[in-house]
Amino acid sequence: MFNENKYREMDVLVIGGGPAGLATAIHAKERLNEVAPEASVVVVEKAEDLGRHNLSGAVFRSECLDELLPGWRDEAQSELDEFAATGGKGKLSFPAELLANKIEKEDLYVLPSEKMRIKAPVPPEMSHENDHTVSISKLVKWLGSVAKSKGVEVYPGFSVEGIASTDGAVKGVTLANRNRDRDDLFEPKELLSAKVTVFADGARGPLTEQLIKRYNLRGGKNPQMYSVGVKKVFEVSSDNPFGRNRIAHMIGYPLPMGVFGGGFIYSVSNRIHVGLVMGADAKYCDLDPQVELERLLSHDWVAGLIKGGRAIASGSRIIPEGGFYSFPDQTVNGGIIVGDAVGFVDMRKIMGLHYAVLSGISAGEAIFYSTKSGDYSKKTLKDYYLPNLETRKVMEDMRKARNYRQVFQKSFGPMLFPLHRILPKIKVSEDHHYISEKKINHKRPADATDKATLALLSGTMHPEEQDSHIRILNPDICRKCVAKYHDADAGMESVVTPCIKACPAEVYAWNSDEERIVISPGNCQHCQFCAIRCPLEVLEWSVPESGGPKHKEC
Amino acid sequence: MKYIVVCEKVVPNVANIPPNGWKENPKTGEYTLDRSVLDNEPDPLARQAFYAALNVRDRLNKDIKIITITMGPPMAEEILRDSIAVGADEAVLLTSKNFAGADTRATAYALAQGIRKTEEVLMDGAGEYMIFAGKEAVDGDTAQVPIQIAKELGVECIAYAGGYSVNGNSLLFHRMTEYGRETVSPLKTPCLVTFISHTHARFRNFARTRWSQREKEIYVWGPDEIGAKAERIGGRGSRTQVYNIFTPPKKETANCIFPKSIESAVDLIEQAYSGKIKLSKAEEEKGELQKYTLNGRESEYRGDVWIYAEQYNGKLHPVSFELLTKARELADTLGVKTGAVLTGKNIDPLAKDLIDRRADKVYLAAHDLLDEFHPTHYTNAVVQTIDKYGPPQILLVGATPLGRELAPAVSYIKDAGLTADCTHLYIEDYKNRKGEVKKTGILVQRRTALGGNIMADIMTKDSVMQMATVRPGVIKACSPHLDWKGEVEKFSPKLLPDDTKIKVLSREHFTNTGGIEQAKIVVAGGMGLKNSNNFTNLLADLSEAVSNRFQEKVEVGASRRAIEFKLVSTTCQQDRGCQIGQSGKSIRPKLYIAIGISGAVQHTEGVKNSEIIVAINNKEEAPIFQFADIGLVGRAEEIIPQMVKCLNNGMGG
Repeated sequence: MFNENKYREMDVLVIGGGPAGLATAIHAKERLNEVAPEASVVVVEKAEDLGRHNLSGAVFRSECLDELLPGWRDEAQSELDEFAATGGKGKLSFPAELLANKIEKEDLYVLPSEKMRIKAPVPPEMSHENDHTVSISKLVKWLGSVAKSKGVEVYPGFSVEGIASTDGAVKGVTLANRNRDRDDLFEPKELLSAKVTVFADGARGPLTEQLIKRYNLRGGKNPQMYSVGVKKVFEVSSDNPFGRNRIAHMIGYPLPMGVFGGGFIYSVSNRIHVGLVMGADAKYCDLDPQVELERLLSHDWVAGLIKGGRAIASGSRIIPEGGFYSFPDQTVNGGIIVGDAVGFVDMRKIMGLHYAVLSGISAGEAIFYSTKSGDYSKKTLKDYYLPNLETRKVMEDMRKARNYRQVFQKSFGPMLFPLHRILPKIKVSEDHHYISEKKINHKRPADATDKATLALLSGTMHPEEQDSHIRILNPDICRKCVAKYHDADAGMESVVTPCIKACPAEVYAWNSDEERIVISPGNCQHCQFCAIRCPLEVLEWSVPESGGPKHKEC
Repeated sequence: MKYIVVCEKVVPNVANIPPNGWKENPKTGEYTLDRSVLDNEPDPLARQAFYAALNVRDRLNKDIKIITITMGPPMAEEILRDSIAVGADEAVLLTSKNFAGADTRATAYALAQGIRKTEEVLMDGAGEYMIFAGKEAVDGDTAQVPIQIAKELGVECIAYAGGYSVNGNSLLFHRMTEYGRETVSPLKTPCLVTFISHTHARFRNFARTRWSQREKEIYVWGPDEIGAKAERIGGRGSRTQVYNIFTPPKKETANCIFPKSIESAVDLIEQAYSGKIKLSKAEEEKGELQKYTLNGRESEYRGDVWIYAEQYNGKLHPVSFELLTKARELADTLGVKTGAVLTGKNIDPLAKDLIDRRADKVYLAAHDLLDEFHPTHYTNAVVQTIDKYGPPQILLVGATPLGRELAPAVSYIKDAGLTADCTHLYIEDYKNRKGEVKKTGILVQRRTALGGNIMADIMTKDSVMQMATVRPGVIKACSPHLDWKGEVEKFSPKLLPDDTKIKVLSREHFTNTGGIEQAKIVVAGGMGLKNSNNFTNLLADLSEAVSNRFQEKVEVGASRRAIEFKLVSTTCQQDRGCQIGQSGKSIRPKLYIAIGISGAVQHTEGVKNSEIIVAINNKEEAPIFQFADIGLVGRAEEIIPQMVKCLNNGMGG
């Protein structure tokens, strides 16, 4: 008969079914099969389906898959060859499509204005030779099916709320309550216990942040730095006007001087992904990533490329950019952190996808050795995790890029740029400390789509009856924020605060009658950029009971 | 009661069609719906029935076993495992390629056989069970299958339950009817209940999810296991056939009319509402007379063209006149007579009204038990009328809540095909691909499906008559012909109080019961109303005036923003019952008045099926005006009092 508690126990529990979590699960399961084939490896994911909460540029360095899934490349290549031989009939599987999207042409443009573009040489450290463009939602969906076929249990649709720990060791997690506000339907929290818990909850992962706080894992380190990435996917005619197998990066327009970031255009099959990355440390309090993306899309050249195309998807995410000096300790007793939750991103290329996979493989190794010795202590996990990260050159790349982003935050930054590799640690503060009262007053271009459309294109949906997963800890502080950042002469009809502007999906609005910020959590993209941009730290973003975007292409 | 069987269904999510869901045909420029990009999900109303089952178990008896059953492709198993994870005890999947291509009749038969087998295998055969189902599925929205399952099993059906209450050891259901609400009690199990209500969702439990994914056995049966006869399932068992599917013409952007004065705006609204003028988007029959002629050939089906005339409290439902108008046209084309079936208690005076609308024959089935609508008695009365005076070759029924309860039962008993909610009907020859005429003079039954995203032409096959329910308001009723001569046949059907095993405990009468989603008129406010005083007072004034003018209950709605800004009542803030839009309620009223709502896509998604959209907004460039039929630019505080005045004046004059 059905014994509930039995099903809440597992050997390895992975929080987050993204590239890092799935790679960990796949590799751990494969390695554990050698010593403990009955060991259970379980992945829980808050999205309704795998890939739905994943969004990235994305450019992918695919070699990491060779270790994770030996033989995949040959199989995919032969499918691709056959496809070509038969004149391209039928539909390619994901791996073959991935190979077909090899980057062959790469450009860097400086955009001095909304009309001009100047081609610049691509610096070698930014080069994407041998890389592929990919839809991360599809990559994750595929990794999920691979994981299941290898015996990993994958359970999407479960939000994790807290960490269960005793005697200084992580013992598992608690799931978010369902129907929190309904007495009659209240379902108690479920406690999932595991020998080792893998924190793969992504950039600014709420669980990892709890873990960092609980065990003070970032002591003495830089705080994490972030950028936001906003993108739109266009379906264009089969003679892709941008050109297949091509990527372009853009600096300059639409962002103002002194703001870190830039635009990108990637071809993925017959889709064009256009996106904009913008530093969370931007000093202008009214800088709005969704408006900036629309401004980029209205640039003469970009507008020409997408003319006649249809926007089919959109969304946003944050990128952890602090790099090496912002890494928290990556292990605790009974716990290990992987991927974007640590911040494995090479800021020279703004790439993190393959490091997520490589860190997952490394964590899988560490779990394997820990299981073998029956010792899941911080020390054992660390002793196997870090060397594995080293052998896979993850740490080497991270050290090379360790100051790359930081120099941009300093006013003297550009001068230091050539020296970034030899400088000692550049200290930074949290992004919101750099926000000033300065305004840039960028207007949304005429005909550009609004934030509600972005939310619609992301498919995001949260049951209206559930409690807001975004909370304002103290509404009085918001009034102070408005007094500081909003120019009262501009009228109280359209109030400017960093959070209202930061959110790409119009979650925030100012109610002038009641003088308070009103939150529409239903539109949330789960990027958390609002909380990062909140200068007074009163926004708290937690994992909703259910819901979120439904990315398929992003 | 020891068991509840829940009928579930896997449907494409047509509420959220992604932008790439529409594929353009480069040759014709037409867009077709690509079903492969749609997500599959459990049918939302069937889920409501499932949640109701869970709630009943919690409140009535913890030992009730819930068994969920579905017919569908093998991937439907995923949804059954989901149900197990939420709390179902057992799950049954009926799957086989032989089930495919089934219409509602063949589907109902297969599910009924599945339930019979379930009773034998999983429910110790004592019949102590109820069947819960959604009122209709979102992809087909016919509302026929549950009623037909009940007929096949020979059990009672309580349709449109909006809620239930526990009374000691038994259950009472509150069901919505066209004219109000009834509280009914099933006197016997098994019985079937269909749900329309929106209760709070229940969630999967992790432990149950893991159990259902790893170990739980699901019963998978094909036709042989459930003892289904091959000639009664799939395409063979169907009595209707879809022979043409196409995409409805793309909805033109409404050409919003900006009347010069508020008087003319109110006048325009009245004319549009009463059907005197048609605004661009309204779905309508072309109104052109049929050119088809039989040319001396005999039509495939024989008999007259009948309609079912719906009456309530001695008053005919307007759809009856619409149906008669269509019946006259069809009968003239076929060279036969028209007939109208009327059921009730004191209905003699109504015969004249029907003859005035050019009915050749009026069949009055009068009986004391027919005083109020009761599905079992009404069904029996109509069936007996057909047996005595028919069968007709065509029987049209209004697609009203009453008609959609009556028609499926009649069609199942008479073994006749039935197409639900038709928007267009005409006589045509059916030709095969080579162009050879295969059937002469059949009724083409056109309807929309998949949430209005595709249209289908359907014909009846292997039946004695062709049946369709017709959406009210799509046919323009002819004016009375006072010199028309018709005959009246009156008889008393054989009905016994014991024919039904459902006891009606109480009836409440009011128009419009289904809340905002069923409302014929909705008035909604947004941020443009600025504060809650404005919101409450202006909307109340306007609703009252509109309600008096059109003699229809008016529901008040709000945009999401208005709710978040707390402009609405506290009740609505809490339950969001008045929230209109993609993330709230989708509405399809005849008249929708949006005040101070800018018209973000998320809002317009939820109101796009409204017939007449009136927008009041102080910003001329508000997107709502690209969507509305009638627009008024200005401040709500100024416009609404004037509108109220005009509407009230209209009453007197």
